[in-house]
Amino acid sequence: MEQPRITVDGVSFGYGGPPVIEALSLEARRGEFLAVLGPNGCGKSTLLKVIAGLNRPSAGRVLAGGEDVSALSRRMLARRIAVLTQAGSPPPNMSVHEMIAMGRYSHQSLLSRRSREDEAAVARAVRDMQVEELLGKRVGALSGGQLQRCRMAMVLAQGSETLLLDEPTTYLDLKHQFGILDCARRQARAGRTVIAVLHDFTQASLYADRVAMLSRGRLAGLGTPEEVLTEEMIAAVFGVRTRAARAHGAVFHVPLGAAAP
Amino acid sequence: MTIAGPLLIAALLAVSVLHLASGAMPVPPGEVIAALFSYDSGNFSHVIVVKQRLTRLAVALYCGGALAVSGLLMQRVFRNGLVSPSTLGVNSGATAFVVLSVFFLGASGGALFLPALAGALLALALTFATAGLLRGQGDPRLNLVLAGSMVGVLFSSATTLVLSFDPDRFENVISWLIGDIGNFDYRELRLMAPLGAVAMAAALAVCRAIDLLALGDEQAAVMGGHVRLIAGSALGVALILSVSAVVVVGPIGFVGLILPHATRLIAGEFGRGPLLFCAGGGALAVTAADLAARTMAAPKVLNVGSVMGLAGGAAFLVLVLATARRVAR
Amino acid sequence: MTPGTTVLRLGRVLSLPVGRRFLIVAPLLLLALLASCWLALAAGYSGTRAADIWQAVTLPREAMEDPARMIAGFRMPRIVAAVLAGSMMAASGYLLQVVSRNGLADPGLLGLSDGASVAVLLGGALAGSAVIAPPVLAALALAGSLGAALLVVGLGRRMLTGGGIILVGLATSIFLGSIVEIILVTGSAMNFSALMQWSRGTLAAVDAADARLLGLWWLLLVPLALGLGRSMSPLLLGDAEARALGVPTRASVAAYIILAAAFAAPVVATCGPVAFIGLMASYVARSLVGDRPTEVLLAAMLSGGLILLWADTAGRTLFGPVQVSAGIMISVVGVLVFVLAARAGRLAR
Repeated sequence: MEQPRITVDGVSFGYGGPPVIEALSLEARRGEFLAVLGPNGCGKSTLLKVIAGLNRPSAGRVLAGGEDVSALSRRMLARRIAVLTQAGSPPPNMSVHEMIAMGRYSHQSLLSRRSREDEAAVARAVRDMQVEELLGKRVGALSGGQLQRCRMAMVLAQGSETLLLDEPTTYLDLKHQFGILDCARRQARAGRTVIAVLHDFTQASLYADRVAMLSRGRLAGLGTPEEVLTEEMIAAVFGVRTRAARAHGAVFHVPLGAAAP
Repeated sequence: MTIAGPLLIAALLAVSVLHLASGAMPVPPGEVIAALFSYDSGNFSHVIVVKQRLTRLAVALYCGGALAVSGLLMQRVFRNGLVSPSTLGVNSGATAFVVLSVFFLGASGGALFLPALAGALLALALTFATAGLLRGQGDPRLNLVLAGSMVGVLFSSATTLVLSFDPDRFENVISWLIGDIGNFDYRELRLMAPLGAVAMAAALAVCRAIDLLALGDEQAAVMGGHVRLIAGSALGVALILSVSAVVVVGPIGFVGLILPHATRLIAGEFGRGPLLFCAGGGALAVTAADLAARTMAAPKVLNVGSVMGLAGGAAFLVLVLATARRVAR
Repeated sequence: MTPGTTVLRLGRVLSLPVGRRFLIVAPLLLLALLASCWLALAAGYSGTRAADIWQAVTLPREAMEDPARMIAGFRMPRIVAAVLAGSMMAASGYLLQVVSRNGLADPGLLGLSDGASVAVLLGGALAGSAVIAPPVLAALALAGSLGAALLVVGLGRRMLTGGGIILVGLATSIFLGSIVEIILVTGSAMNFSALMQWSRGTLAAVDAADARLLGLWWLLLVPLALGLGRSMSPLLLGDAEARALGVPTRASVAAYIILAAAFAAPVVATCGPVAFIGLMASYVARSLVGDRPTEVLLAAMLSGGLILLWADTAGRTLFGPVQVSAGIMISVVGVLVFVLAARAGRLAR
């Protein structure tokens, strides 16, 4: 059997205090779209940071392509795993093209100029995200949706086999939410591995191959959307009674009220 | 940067020739160029231009470039348009330690570099410690500058203290202290320039990495940047550049504060172009200020430091008002 | 009634809520100040007997013996001036801190002192060798300091109520500072070092006339500050909140800045621009009595007097033949200790 792209093996992590993630294990394979769901503060973003090597686990380990993440240099790690962090403070004076080209940073040495390979990767990412007409603009002049597409292009240009997306659809209107998710799924179908923190059950059920449900730093469920997104699971993890419905290949949850404690 | 670069070079050449031409004995520009390209050791004005004024010009060019690039690096690393070697207290720290080591160790020339660097580091650490006191109240960018100016006063007081022990001994230090370009500064320049050249090369090398930091620490890290290493080395290069300039001419303020802003307006912010432009602009500014100091109140000679302070203080004010207006909107 | 307060009553006429911490701290500070004054009177080159000091303080000038007359003639005015100047700089600093809601504000950092310095130096330069009388000097300083304050308020009028005013002040102080530098440099190298001393603040040249001048200003300004103090606490809440409570924020901010300038001016005229007292005294006062503005103001004034007195006394006695000016003592020793102590305190919390 093929080796998993990403292996999270018994990982615990806490920011100096009580553990935010405890003894968590999961795997993600080539061509897979894995959605991470859970209530606020359950450790979703923390898990993503652990996988990206930003947080060093206090127990367990994370493997990327069979190698321990903490043993790789930042540069080598960036060539394997690309991350779209939650929108930070993008530099308003940078041009969109400059920003997307930054995605190639991990492929360049201190002195080398952009190679033809770099140019090609940037061009491909620009085409994928359909941001050709934005290239000459300044980042500060973009709308929220445009900015997120450009950041996504930057991350794609990195050319890494694994993509981590931390709430990629927050603050976007519906059209752009689906634009980003469509692109993420295309990347998965093309052989990349996508791990995305999402909020919306319906979107997760539509796009993800598998769903990991987190609750208080532990894995509450892992499997296909059908298996995980059940009424019982939602009640247990989110404390909300819902009625689940299935239509058009998606799982819908209609909230009914707070669950009995 | 298509037209800005050549324009800057032209301006730099023009001001340089003017600088060489003016002084107690004016030499016509044509003669200046002749002195540079067909030097005649029998011609008195050739001797003055080459032996005396050329060295001063070199000092002005070097220090302006070094301070401006130092300021640019600091502003990029801290993502704060109000920091610079002078506003963070770095210049005053270096100055105080130079005076201390002259007084207690009898050090001179290039040996002053290390104490100056130590002073700069101490000042920077103190500035951050002081700004840390105010965490949570007010704008942190503003607090940093306030803390820096506090540390600046602290160190310049220390300088005054040491001077007051034995004013006579410091007679020749005083012109250095107020940031004047003296006739013999080129001796220190000879020692500092190679260091500065290495630091400048390092700055060009880390340039792209610094651009990466602009995306935010986290995004920069996951894209392969070692954030602390990048910020640390950029800051180290900035300190070396500013301290080497301080050792040569003394504390000249505001080149490092103003030039990065001018550069951003004219030549953009990212890549190597702006860095080079900023170096050229700094050289131009200090040379022009020296020219002004010499001619403005002639026959009285002012010092570059004060002229820069006057111009820089006014520019800083404009900068603050402009920033505030943008924030208010 | 809020916890930690006591109401002082004077019949039916007056009832004043006062923080209990203030009731403890203020007398202690006053006591410390008196004790320090006594110590400072005793400190000097020549040995001083307690009896001399007692004579100097209690007897009229004519009835004194020589040592006592020396003390009364030289040390006493200097000590009185130190206490008054320290408390006035502290008041000026605290007012600026309230206005800017920033604990680093200080007349020395915001251009007020520099404005006064420029005026005094220019006056000195124009007068040539003629000696300018202290009251004239004080008026000059006031004009300079007020001018700087008006400049800062005028330029920063759009950001009067935010922290932005501080930056405008800083820029103004840099600009004025380089004018001071140019004036200093154009003088000869000899008086450069003397002027440098003055430009950091020193009490070496203070005499009885200066002390009287400071006292006069003190008596004039302190009641004014206390009277205006009512609107200070709303200001601390923030601009919008203060306005909602009915405080005319712009007017009171401008009034405070001008008052702060008036506090700083006579000090600059007599002792030079002593920096950082306002900053340190306010910090000490806030950590001692909490944040009721009037109480902090009074505690800051007491601490400011203590700080300047100690700095001056230590500077004139500790280093043997060299007299280190109070301004330098405060800037170097005081600020270092202050920053490190405050930092340690913050870490310990």
